[in-house]
Amino acid sequence: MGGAQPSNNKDQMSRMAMLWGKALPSVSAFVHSIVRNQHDVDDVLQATVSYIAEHFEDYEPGTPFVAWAISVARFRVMEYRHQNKRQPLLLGDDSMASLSTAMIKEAESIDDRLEALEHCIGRLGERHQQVLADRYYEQQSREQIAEALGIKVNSVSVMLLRIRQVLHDCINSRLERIQ
Amino acid sequence: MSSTITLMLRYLDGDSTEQETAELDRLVADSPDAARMLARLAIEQSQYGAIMGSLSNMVFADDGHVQSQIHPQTEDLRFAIQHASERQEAEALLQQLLKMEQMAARVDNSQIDHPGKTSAINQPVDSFSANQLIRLGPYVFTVLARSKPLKWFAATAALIAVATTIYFIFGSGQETIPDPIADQARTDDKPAVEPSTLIVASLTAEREAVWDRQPGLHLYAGQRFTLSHGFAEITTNSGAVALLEAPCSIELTSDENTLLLNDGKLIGLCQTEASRGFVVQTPDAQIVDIGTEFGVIVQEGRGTRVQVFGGEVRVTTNQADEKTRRAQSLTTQQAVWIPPDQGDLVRIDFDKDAFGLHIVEQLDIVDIVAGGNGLGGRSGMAIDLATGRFHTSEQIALLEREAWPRDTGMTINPIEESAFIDSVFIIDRFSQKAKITSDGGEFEGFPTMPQTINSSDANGFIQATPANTVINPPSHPDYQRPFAQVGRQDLDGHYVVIHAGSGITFDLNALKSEHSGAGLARFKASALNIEKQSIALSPAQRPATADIWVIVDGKQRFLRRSTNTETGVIEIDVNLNKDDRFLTLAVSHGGDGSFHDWVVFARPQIEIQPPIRGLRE
Repeated sequence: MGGAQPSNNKDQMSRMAMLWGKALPSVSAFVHSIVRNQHDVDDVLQATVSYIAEHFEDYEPGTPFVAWAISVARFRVMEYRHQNKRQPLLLGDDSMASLSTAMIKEAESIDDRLEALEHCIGRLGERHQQVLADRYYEQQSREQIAEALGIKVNSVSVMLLRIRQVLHDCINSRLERIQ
Repeated sequence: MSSTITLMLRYLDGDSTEQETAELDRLVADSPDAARMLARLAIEQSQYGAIMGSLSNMVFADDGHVQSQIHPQTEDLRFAIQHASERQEAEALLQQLLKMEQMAARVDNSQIDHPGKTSAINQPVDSFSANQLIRLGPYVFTVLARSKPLKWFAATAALIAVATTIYFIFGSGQETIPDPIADQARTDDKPAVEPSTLIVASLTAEREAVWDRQPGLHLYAGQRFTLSHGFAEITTNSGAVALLEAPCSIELTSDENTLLLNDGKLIGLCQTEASRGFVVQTPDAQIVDIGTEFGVIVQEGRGTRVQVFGGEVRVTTNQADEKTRRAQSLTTQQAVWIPPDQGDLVRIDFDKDAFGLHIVEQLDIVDIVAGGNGLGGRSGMAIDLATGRFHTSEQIALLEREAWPRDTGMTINPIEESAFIDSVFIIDRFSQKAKITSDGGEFEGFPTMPQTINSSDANGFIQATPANTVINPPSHPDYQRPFAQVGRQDLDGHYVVIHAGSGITFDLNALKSEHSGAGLARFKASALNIEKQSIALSPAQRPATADIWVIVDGKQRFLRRSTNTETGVIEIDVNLNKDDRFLTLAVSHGGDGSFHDWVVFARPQIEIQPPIRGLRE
């Protein structure tokens, strides 16, 4: 890196920003599914992008960047687990490997999936959109949401479960239709 | 498969138990299909926040277009992002920045006029989006590189935001938010339509509505909309209400009491004095409402159908020549068809099922016990008293379980799979008490009972059965119950079946909020103790009855003691008040023997007043 000329360096950074930006939804989904709290997810992502930035010359143009990024993230998760032994164990190493393979495969069509997700969210009723926003954007607790809506916490959980399932079904049927 | 998806969703939301997590771990390690499903769900889950955030950061103008947001100059924005201390703030600011860049790019592009191009957003990616990203790339990396003075999350948040924005730019294509420039292009294609500034109606409700372009709150004369999915309610300034059912195309006119229905289904409601004379104009006829409720269906090439749900309308065909025009008045439950291009009026049968939007006067408790919201017409399900889980009738007929200890005691299970059922419970046979709500509410005063619910049998379930059936699984071949009276005329309909010693509590608040604040006026059902006395019973076992209870918020509102088959059908009619929260149905033994203890509630329902317009599922 030290020998790189400033303008090249800048170009390389731009290129990396683009690649990373495009890979991030997949990498982030991968990390989200094996690390529990948001703070730790962000730490792992940060460690991942730092590693990628430092070793960007190792990346071979033309190979799938997302595969590399996910494997980097996988090792960061393992490191993280090593350092935080008290964390409740979620998925083990075998399923993590199997999930990373699946995630790399899914990355090919992630744009379609996210496009369909946005479309399907748009089709939700206003109230369900609100609950989704309260929970996943405002990051409100279910208790807060329940109180605001005057319903039980349990109902909020059920509602969220249903909304997510409906979205998943809607996305799949939309993707099937498009194909 | 549905339990796998539930398991995964619970896991992703941090709700799964240790055991469930272990189960999922095995599943994902062993099955590539399961891994793929989890990958997909995780992708979706990780983007809800970003998408909802980007939606909530948009400012919509009255006409539904995205208005330019309240923003400082881009330089200021860049500065602000670098100094944002909150994750959300950084994310929102960055999105604004990207949107401004996007707008600017559109304006640039629209100046280079390519014929046939309607919107810059449909262009190939690298013509501007990628350039724009490359312009921003170093900047984002500056944020990242400077992550020391920044809080840790601002940097990652910025990157996450870039990712979502990249997706907006790369991925969204045609179905993005309405775009003023693109709309301008559309309007140019149709010079005849000149949206005016005259507000003639409002969009007052929507359900699962998908529009060709999203209407704003105010609707202007000359605006045209096509609803391609769902339902919507428009209220004209005069107070007439038009319920639209997709697919449906309408146009607003400068007369605030007239709507053009070009295609599809519309129900008109005139409930105010000012809206009398509300007109729906179709390609074939003009329908004038005279204080009533009516439905109109227009199908291209198949003319117009008009029918009256209540009151009166006047239908006039559309011929230019007044002499050949035909007109007819219709009253309740009458209908006419105006074939296309003939100017004829043909009387047809009223079809109450012609509209998906129908009047809801009651919620069906059987549907709710089967997992629905009261409108779905479901049945053939049962709730396990031991777990609070739903099973299909087929499943429970096959379910083999250990019998519970004879004295299970007071047991309550909150229902997770329905928002409308609070819990199911078992009454303690000695203390005469039961916990009847999941928030700890108890009810005392049940009789002492000879035995508790037997879990190994069908009586361990609250059943929601199809018309005139009770599930009686062959778990005890020597004990086939003769439910002889099932299906008698006054007991016709779908049933909720409750065995003595148990009960179920409904969450009235959740029902109200599901049905747009509907007024829940009363609970009604026809109940009957259906278990015929067995000849094999010893005289000591003979006197055996069951008590039927309706409890609201822990207070008894209805009690019929000592019922048996000979009691006949009991009509239950319980008033509900506005503030009532929990409705409990329970059956106890009658303080005597342990037989005669199966009670069916036929056609159990909650009456809604005033009736609401509901949607069939």
